[in-house]
Amino acid sequence: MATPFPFVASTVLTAAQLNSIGEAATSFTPTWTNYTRGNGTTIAYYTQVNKLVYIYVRETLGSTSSVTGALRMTLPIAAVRQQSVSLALCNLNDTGTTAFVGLVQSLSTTQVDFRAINAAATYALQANTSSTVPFTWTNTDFFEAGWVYESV
Amino acid sequence: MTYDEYVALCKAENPPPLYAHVNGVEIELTPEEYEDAVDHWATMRVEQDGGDE
Repeated sequence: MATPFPFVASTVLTAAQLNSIGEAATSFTPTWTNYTRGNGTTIAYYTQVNKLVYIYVRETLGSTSSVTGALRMTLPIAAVRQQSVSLALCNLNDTGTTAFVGLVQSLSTTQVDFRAINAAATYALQANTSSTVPFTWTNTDFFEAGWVYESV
Repeated sequence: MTYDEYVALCKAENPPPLYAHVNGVEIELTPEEYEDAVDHWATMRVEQDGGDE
């Protein structure tokens, strides 16, 4: 159900509207640029209370999945603004080997990037992912993040 | 390996039908999605080898 906010004076508040505040998260299928799911596995959902959206995404590569550039996802609900500060940390996971720390970066009101962190410099830098950044992506590797943002 | 060799390898190891799993639901890839997945996977592997498609 769509968020019931804002309530208007004199309007009868329904049980459905009240229940929607605490309703179950909504599953969605993320749309990616530079990631092809193939036979991969996706877990993705969001839940919205008023203007706040909590979103969680995990993409696990299958034997035909591919990362071919900067991981870019379209948000299921548009954000109120693009912001330069990172939204959250993300896990770029070379399964069984290394869990790399990355960043979820706001790209626009409708898209975010999952970025790696280049630790080679004196000060850590954001870096676009690629087929080999931050590691060589293969079957069973995954990337994952959950964060809160303000919707329109 | 070349792009074409990776395409052949991918198809040999992953013959259709192929399934994605989205939020617990098994979804069969369409022929177009299958070809896209193979194409992108082969492209990725060539890049990982440091070569050009």
